[in-house]
Amino acid sequence: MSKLIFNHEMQDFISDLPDLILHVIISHLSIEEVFRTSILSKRWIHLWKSVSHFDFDCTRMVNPKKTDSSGKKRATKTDVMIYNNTVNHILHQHKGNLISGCFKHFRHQNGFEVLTSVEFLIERKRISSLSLECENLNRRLNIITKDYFKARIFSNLSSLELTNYKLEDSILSAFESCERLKVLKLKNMFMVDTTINGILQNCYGLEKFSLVKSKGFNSIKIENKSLKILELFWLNVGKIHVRVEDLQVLAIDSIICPPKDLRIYSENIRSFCSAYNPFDQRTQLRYNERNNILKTQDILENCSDLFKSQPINIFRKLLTLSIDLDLNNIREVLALSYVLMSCSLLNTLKITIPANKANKASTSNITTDDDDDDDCALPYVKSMFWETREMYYFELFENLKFVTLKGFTGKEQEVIFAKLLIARAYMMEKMHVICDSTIVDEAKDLLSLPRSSSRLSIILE
Amino acid sequence: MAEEVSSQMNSLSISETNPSSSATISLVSGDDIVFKVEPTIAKEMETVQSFIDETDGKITTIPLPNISSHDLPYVIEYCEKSIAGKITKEFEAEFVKKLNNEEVKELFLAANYLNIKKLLDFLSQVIADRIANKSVEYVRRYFGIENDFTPEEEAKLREELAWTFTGVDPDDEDEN
Repeated sequence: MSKLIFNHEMQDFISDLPDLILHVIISHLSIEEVFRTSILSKRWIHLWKSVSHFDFDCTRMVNPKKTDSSGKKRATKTDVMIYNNTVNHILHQHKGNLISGCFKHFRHQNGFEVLTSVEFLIERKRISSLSLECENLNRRLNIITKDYFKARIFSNLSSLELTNYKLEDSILSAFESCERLKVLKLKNMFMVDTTINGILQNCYGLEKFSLVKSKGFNSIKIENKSLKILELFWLNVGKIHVRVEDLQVLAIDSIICPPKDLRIYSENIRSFCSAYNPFDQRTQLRYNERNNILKTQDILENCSDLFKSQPINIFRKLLTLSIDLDLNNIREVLALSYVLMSCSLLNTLKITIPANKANKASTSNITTDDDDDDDCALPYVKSMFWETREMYYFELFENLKFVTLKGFTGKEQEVIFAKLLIARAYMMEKMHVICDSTIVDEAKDLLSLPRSSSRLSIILE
Repeated sequence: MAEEVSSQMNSLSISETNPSSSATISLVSGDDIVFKVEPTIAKEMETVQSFIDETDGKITTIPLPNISSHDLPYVIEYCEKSIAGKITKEFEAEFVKKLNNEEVKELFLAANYLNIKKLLDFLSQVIADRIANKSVEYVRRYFGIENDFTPEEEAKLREELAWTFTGVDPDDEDEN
């Protein structure tokens, strides 16, 4: 109660705040900024020494003067030394424990020396969250081996992120006894099958695993029992095998994998996210590979029991379904309509309709006109599609509350789908239609339709 | 996308616990404006919730003398989004766009006072973003810090920390 009655001057922002709160603010700053706060006033001189987070970003701490033949700045041995010494200097002045630390270091033969500080951070500062990144100038990855890390070095961490490294099997010793590790993110890495799968086996307590733009392996096997969130972005693999009974969230973005070899045995997924963007620069795919990216429809077909070959339907318990899918393509819609039939708990549905291929891929060989590329023949008129299935969605409509249609272009099939939901989904509270300014009129027609849910609000953007 | 996923996780846990609707809570701002909110919103504000708990829920009108009627709606809006599991990068970007420097600081104090962890953490990030790459003078003005160094002391510190000045932007003309 006494807490509620105290006065302060709004103008005097800082002086009333305890150091603890100031630490929260400056812990969000990069290292040189944190350090620079010591010039603010006498109170601040020592404040930085008790922050809970350090972010040692070489590109911000040292400004290399030399450039290489391609005009990129390249660190010299002196630059690397300055970085390493500064890191050491700061770490040894810091008092108390740290919660997390980030290193971004130079790609230089001496650049890796800073990794020896990791041991200090883990053993003396007892950090629980660590992120290591090697500067990536020309997309060549540097190898880290067991030379930099002693065995079981990561065993006290709860979160680890590695970016831009090539890992060899010998690194597995560092991952021994890592059952406490809950979050692992590997980005732009090179690992062979035995390395990636070995790491996953060692870190069997993982709850969140993200594998982003990594190469070198052909087959991954994920069987970590505690895993709740799995993110697979921009990968090119031959086989993905996931057997986690309690997986809650699965997110997939632009991966290449034969549809039949994406094997997911998880019946309790609550949220499924699938994006597909072959033109995303970040995928770094060669032109001819782009057509092989798994489309949402492939996943919907192969991970449900639509084809009898797959015994498990991973969509049955979904609460949230967020997908890139072209509502105008009957084959894609067929897969969606089948999956929706089994989603009796679904609460939120978000569909992003990909921008017209003709605009984006003007250089591609696909010359079929987009409006009529039915790759499946139907025994009835296309516009009847949703109508013929309406009766199967009774269970779906019982729980569906939030719908977002992004990239709405006002084409017939999109409108029919939106109309079906407005007319039948009697529990729906919000429908969000996000469209280009050119077709606002078509979208506005949706507003005047009779609605089955009295609570429904339709928002156009 | 990762943010999206984790916010979905929030919505999952929310939808599983069906909040029972009971009497609304009245929050009274420093300038005596009453805001009625659902009990679930009050739960997000630890200071308010502990007050309710202490009185076994008998008192449902809570005076918040340190928070103005200008700031309170922002706090409530954030809490509403938070319990709906709808805190996304887009929402946060929109939310912060509406706020000038003074308002960010006021909201930060409000979040600190009400003990709303998520809002506090988000606003510290916002403040950090707004002082990033700014000169020492700018940050002093931003926080209202009085420089208590002698010019000699400051010059010496600046020399020692010369390496930290590589990324500083020149001060902008308009600062609010």
